[in-house]
Amino acid sequence: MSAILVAATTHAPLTQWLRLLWDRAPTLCFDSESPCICGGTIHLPARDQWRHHAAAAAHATAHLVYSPASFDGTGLGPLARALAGLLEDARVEALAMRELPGLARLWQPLHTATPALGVDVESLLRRLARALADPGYVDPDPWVAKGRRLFFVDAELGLSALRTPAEVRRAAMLLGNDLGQQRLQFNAKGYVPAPAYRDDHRWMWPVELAVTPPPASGIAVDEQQEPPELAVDESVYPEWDRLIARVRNDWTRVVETPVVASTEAVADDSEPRRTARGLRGSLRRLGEVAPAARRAEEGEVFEPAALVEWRIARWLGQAPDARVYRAPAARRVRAGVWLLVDQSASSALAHDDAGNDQLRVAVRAAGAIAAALQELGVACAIAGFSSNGRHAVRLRRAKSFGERADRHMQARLDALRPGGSTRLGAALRHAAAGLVSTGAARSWVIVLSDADAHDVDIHDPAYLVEDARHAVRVAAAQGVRMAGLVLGRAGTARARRIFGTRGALALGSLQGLPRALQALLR
Amino acid sequence: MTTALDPLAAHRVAREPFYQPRGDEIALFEASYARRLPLILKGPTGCGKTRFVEHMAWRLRRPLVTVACHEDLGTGDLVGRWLLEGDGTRWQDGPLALAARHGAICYLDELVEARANTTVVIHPLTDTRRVLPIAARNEIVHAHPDFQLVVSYNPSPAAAEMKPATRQRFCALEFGYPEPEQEAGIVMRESGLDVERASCIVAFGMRTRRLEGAGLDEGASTRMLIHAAELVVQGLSPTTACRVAMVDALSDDADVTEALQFALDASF
Repeated sequence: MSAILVAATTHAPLTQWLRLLWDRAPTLCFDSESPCICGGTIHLPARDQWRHHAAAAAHATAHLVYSPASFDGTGLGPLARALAGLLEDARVEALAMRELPGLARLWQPLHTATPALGVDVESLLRRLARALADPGYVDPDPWVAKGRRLFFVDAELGLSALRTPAEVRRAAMLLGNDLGQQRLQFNAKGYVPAPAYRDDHRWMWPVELAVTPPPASGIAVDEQQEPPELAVDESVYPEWDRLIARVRNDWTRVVETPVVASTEAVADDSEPRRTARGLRGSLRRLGEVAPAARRAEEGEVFEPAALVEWRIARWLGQAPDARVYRAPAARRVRAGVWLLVDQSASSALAHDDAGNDQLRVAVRAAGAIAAALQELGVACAIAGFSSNGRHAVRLRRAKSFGERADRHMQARLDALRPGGSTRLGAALRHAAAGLVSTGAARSWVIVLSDADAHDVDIHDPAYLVEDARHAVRVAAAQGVRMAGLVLGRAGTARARRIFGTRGALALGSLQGLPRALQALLR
Repeated sequence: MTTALDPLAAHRVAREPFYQPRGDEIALFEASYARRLPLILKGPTGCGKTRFVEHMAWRLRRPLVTVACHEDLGTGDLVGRWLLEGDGTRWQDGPLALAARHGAICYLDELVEARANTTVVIHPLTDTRRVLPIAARNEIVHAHPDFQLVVSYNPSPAAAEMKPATRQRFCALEFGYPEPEQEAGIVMRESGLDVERASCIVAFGMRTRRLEGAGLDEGASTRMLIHAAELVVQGLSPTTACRVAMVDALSDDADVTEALQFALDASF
């Protein structure tokens, strides 16, 4: 039956699912012991089953959709508060199920309370929760029956009589009084709302309970280490987690900023320009399509030689070649190239005997490629990238697609400084998204890096390599091809794992750039 | 009337195509047609642009010549070309020349999909000249007084931009998806499904539009909803019909399809 009940061990589509249901996209964190809502963020247990995640996420989002921001707890004891929470849970679920009847199949099976549980307060609360969620459940207890009567105006239709916080509060006090008169003890400290998919109601009583969201997974990132920069673009991207073999949606945050360099700054770009002249041949094919056949069956202009042959064939009683039209000439296609320069701390390593570090060689190569592409009329953007945890992947844009490759651009490139880590996959996804949005018919991302993908919150050396590999494959499906020019000898094998055997080449010096590009851009 | 006498006989709209007006678009189209002003119909896939043009052609009693544009559409495909025939050649008008010569409404569906050098052939037809130069035949066709040009354009993130030089020749009518009640009415009218199930299908279809830009380029079109409703009329359960007509058809991305399937499960 329902696909929801076929438990998949994934939460990847959860965000999209919630958007489909209620047009909400609350932040989901899988980092909590039990479900809770803090400041609009839904915290869910890590490593749970999809069915519980879906149930918990839908329940919490139903609160965000149908509940007030908070309740007035004045004069309510612990038991009345627990009851108000229970009634509010049932109220939002009833509203959600009116709109989305299939949610009943998700929530109802998780209510397992029966009269056999007993008559202590916690058991009665669980029995009442079930009685309000499951119309088919029969409970002989008069208090549970009274709760049901107070709650429903029409149990068959799932219509609740409780429409306002004041009505919820009044019903909770009534039911609480009844339990009090029975002299039943309530252990407020040990109370956890049941079933386990329901949140702990901390959002209901915000003043009394100091709400501290649980720490996010991974190492806390000190954003203050980064100098304040003017963000022009902030995007979130998925990341491939090789351990669970799933994509973690909205996992990395990429902040794109322009490179801070004086507008007057110019740099000596004679060396990149010299190099650029030798690059035109290697890059020319980016802007062209393969030459078309000269003749076609359909076209706009006859090909005279083909007409003559057609006529001769007819005279000879042979089958004439129907391709009598001139084929359209090979036309230039709109191409786009995004150059990504790795400016992580390791790019400060010496690259050659002349004392150039890897970053210096990379920015010179990028400058040369940009200059050559400009002459060929191919759009090109350049950005340096580094990271400091998954929430702080920074791209510094040295050249946008519309900007000229000139000495100002070279100055901005030269202003890139080594620092931070290499979360390559996020940078690749950002570049690919940028290229797709330009609508270029032929798109390339070329990375200049030592291909040593690592980050402060990742301890598995293969994790970011596999993520980058995933990014390359997804981009290929979108028509964006990717290649790596590897600085430093050690990285070529890693880069080949990411970009494929033919997608990565070592770059020894700028002199080797034309040949490397020729080989990569086949 | 025979084809020899009426070259547009095949393009005449005999019966009224059903169209549910959403606002004053019929009056606006009629006003544009009265002055023969070219029109762009903007809007998402399957929201009723083509049906609207068919309806207007019927209402104005004009033949309708429709061309679905694509990236390989050349000038010859619109204007016409020389064909080989027996011992000689014969000129055959393309759809645009046919419409301009004999006075039809020419509807270029998704014009931006055509190559840029193809798009420019419409330019002389869309200003006061109202002519179609046919270079291959060394002829200038003066548009028939009844001729009007209508193009459609779907400004989705995946679509190409329309060039200002082309765009500024047109008046524009913006189309969106109909309001839920209207859309349910259209689904009922087109499929014959009852109001309750049609409304459920429309409600789910509207949910899919929430993923626009967040997994889907476009949500389910009205056309898709009608397909789902037709499958229900054919005997399928609404869940199965929505899966076949919408969930599986909308995306190939496993995560998006999964989310859509779960949302479908929650909806019925």
